[in-house]
Amino acid sequence: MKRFSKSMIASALALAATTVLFAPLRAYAQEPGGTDLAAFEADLFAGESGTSPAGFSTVPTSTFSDVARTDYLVGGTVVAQAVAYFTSDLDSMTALSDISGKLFAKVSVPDYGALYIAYNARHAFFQAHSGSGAPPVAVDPYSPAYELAELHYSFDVAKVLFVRIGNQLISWGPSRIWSPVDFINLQKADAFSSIDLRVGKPGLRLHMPLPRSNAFLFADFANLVKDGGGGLTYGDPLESVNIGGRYDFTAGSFEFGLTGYAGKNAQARFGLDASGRLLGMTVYGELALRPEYASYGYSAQASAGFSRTLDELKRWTLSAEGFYNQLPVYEQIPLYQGKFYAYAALSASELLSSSLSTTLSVISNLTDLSYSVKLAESFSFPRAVPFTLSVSFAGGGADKEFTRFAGDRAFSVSMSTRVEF
Amino acid sequence: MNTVRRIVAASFLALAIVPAPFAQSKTVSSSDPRALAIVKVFEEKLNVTGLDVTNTFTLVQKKAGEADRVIQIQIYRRDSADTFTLVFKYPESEKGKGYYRNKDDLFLYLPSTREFVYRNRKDDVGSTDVRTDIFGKSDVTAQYWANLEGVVKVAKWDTDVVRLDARQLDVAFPVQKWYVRQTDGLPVKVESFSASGTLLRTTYYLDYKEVTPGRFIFTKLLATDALEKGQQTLLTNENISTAKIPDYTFSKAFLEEQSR
Repeated sequence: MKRFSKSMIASALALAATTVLFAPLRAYAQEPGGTDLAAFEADLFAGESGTSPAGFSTVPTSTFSDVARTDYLVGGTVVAQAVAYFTSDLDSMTALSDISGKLFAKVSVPDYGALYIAYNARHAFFQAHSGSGAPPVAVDPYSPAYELAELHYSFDVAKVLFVRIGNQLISWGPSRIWSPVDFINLQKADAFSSIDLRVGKPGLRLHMPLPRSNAFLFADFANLVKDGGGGLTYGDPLESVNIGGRYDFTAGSFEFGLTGYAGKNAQARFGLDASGRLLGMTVYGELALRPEYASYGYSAQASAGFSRTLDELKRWTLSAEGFYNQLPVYEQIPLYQGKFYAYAALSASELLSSSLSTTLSVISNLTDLSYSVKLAESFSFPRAVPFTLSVSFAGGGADKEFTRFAGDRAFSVSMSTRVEF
Repeated sequence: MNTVRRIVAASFLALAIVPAPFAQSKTVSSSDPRALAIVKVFEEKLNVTGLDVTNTFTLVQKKAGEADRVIQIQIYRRDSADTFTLVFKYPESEKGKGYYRNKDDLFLYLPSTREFVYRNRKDDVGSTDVRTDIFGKSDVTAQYWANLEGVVKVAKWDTDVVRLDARQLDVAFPVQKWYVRQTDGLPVKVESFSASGTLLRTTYYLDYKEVTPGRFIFTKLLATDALEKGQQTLLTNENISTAKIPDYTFSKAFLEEQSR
């Protein structure tokens, strides 16, 4: 059995910490015009009316045109990462390095609307396991996995009604981690992922902006196509199409949302959410109710959270969120398995150096008392690839929500970078 | 099990017991009538209430050791209704993003997720040194106490210095000093401070255009970051028009449509 020396790992971590703490501060450039404020200001206002200050003479102007034209846009978000999990006894290690991303293309044609398509793709570079326990199932290192993320066509009717048809993601509800009023998407959003790789749902979305409010209607086509054993077949829309609706409005410094979802063969769902500013904090909350239906019992879910900057320079931020999940049996997915959850994080931007951002967070399933504590450090040195290094520790007992994958008192180290283009 | 409970409880407690918001050093709680008069004059000159204003902002940000960053924004402004809409036009990576303000409600539209995010007035525009609260009608006296701090020369002009101390939390800066030109009552320089007196940002109003008799809009503005030495943002205001803007422009739907 191969063991990793604790002293070696401790040394490596100490070296990493030293690197972080004593990273060179950004070399400040001289203020144009020197330190003589009066001379700087005299120079600044000395030019002819309409001229730009020194150093700004090459400003490109008038790159914008009011003339409607066909626009093409191609882009994406890609995350490259490496992560290693270690058991508490350091007798087992699992490591993975991969790249994943969402790539999109969009064309907007005046008077016709826009077509949008996005694909998710993943490819593993390195999959290693050493020590005790069965190795995890690996993916083919020669074939990237990809799937359609979204594909839709959108247009408007006299600028009064906005229509989008196709596979799409819906963003309803203000919560950051737990979103009870998200009744429509196939998967819950993962707030801790650097990239949203969810797959959109086929449907028709209608949006009507109203004074200080918005009305939305979503016809859910996900159950319309059936697999009858002999292949996919058309379904009866009266039986299979579910309808979701949302009305949001602002009142004072708050935005409120009322959401509903129902269908002939679906459990009805009702939601209420609010977000806004209160006592210098951003606060938000969601409440969702599901009345009894067929074999499904009544259930309720609620989440609430806040975020507050702690200093006048907005460098320290405290945020927290809690979640109540009355019937966990409905949601056998991560972060929806327990009845009570709590999350808290303290973030510091430009801590010790303007190139560093630090976040310490803890999340716990208060039902099974498993938890995960994470320290993440983001580095953005000039002329270097920005990246995030994080160390996590999971505990609370074996085979619980946060210890099921790597074991109790296991820790992980990960490094990632996110590219947007 | 008790150990687990203690660890979980201690972790949350550690994050909950964090320093309270830093004490505000603000002690001012009244305004000087002479300062209020100066503020009123420049607010009158700069408030284009009654007019719809369409214009194009080009922001160029210079940062030490980095390439220049250029952002172009189309502005639609109706001060009489206390509303404005901003749409990012350049670069391509920002295209489609926008802000919509309706009185105190400010929303950021993110085309990538097609969602509206509620923001407060302290937002920076595209991570530059320019804040969203420079757009829309100025309402300094509702947000700040105003007092005079003497006369100071800025370039070739004598300026009255008006110190503003925040009356409410939701403002861009707790303390500001406005240097107002005695010749025409227009501000030429604004210094923005933290509550403890640290200079954070200086903004120079380099040029104005008279859009109607007695009403002005700045056409060139330079914002310098006092914390990030060498970081400056130049804002050029072009294509200024006071033609009537369709009501529909001031809606969330317009922003969403612009990103299609």
